[in-house]
Amino acid sequence: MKPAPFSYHRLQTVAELVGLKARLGDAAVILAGGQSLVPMLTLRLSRPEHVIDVNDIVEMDHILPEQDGLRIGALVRHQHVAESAVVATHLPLLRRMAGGIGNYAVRQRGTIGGSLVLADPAAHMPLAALLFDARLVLRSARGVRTAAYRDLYRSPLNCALDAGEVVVSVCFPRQPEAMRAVAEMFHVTAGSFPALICAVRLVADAQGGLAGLTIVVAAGAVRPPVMEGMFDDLRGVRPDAALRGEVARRVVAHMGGLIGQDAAGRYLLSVLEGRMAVCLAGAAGDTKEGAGA
Amino acid sequence: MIISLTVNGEVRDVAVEPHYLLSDVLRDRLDLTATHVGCEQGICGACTVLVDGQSARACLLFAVQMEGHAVTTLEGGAPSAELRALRAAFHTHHAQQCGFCTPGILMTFAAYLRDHPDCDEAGVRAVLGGNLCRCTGYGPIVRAIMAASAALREVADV
Repeated sequence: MKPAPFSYHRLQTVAELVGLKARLGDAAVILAGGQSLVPMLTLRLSRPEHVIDVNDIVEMDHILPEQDGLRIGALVRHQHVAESAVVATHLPLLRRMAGGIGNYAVRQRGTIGGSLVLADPAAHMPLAALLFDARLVLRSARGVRTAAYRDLYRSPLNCALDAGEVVVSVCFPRQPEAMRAVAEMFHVTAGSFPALICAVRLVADAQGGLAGLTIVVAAGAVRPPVMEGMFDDLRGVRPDAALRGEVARRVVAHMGGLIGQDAAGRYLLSVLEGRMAVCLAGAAGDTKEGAGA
Repeated sequence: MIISLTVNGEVRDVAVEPHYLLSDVLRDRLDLTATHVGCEQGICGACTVLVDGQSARACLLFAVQMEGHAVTTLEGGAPSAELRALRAAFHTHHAQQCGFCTPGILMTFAAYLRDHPDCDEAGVRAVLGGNLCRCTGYGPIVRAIMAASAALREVADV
């Protein structure tokens, strides 16, 4: 199949983009990297009247370390994140996850903003944004606002931007020194969306006990849950093998309730159990990978 | 609409509609048929070309987007050192059978070898995951790419 006809608009500035989006509303879709949108147009899953090409808007293409975190423009390509020394310094896990997206040619085009707005439940960038509690900077004719990605990401393929809003950049908060983050990605075939990603963010207190634990798992077609409050009773406990076993049990039980216990679900849960052990050991500093991965 | 495309260093004016894919315009309007179209969903990699020197799926781009950018196909005017080395190594190592996937693989690795002169086999295999081949089992392709990489390093050392 081929895409249906549309009117094409190629813009140079965010101001133009916001103006045109306000005028055209839902009749227009934004074309960034196009690595998901173009197949959807080709399969005619989407038939917009207007396509707005934002690839020339250089003001959305930047990676900036700031006082309170790392700002990444919406138009930054995955390969740029994967090779960025700045990202490697501030959020090594984000860099590694970007390098696991799709394949080399797809990473050259696909953008972080596009991936976050699409909110594919199996995708890497949404999961990283959920894990680190990233905030999106949104512009519309009404002005600028920031919103937590955790609030915007309601359900699979549903990132709840307001009418006429566009994502300009994403801010990953500065992480404490004693933070380790590790993720495991389980791909059935190279280049495909992973069947499972589990990511652990662990902050240790001065005695080496748990000061904070966040776990996000992408599996099945559900919005990846952010698991945080369910570990509150474990604060201060050292993340030894026994504690990690307990955490993994809770995570597997929680995911079991979300993705179901049919044959495919049971298989994913068994993979999750093994990968959780690897992630938790890394995040607890039991392996060398924990520090940087 | 008439757009002006820079393909293989030549500026070509071509009549297109905005929804025409780059892969179709290359093949059907410009007669550059080395760019093969397989899945048309970005999976198979057969249509990989270079856009401003970086690999990209021609089936995931609209031709109209390419105004102001340089597109390089396998036919490309003066082949790069990487492409010449890859071609020679693909011959030597019998790295193609039906040839459908070959152009996409050559374009992908022309860019990859240029940017990663010290690549290892694991890296090559990871990148090759973006190009489907249904004939060779990939072994000869990996050997050819590693040989091309080694040959390029030898030239660079001289």
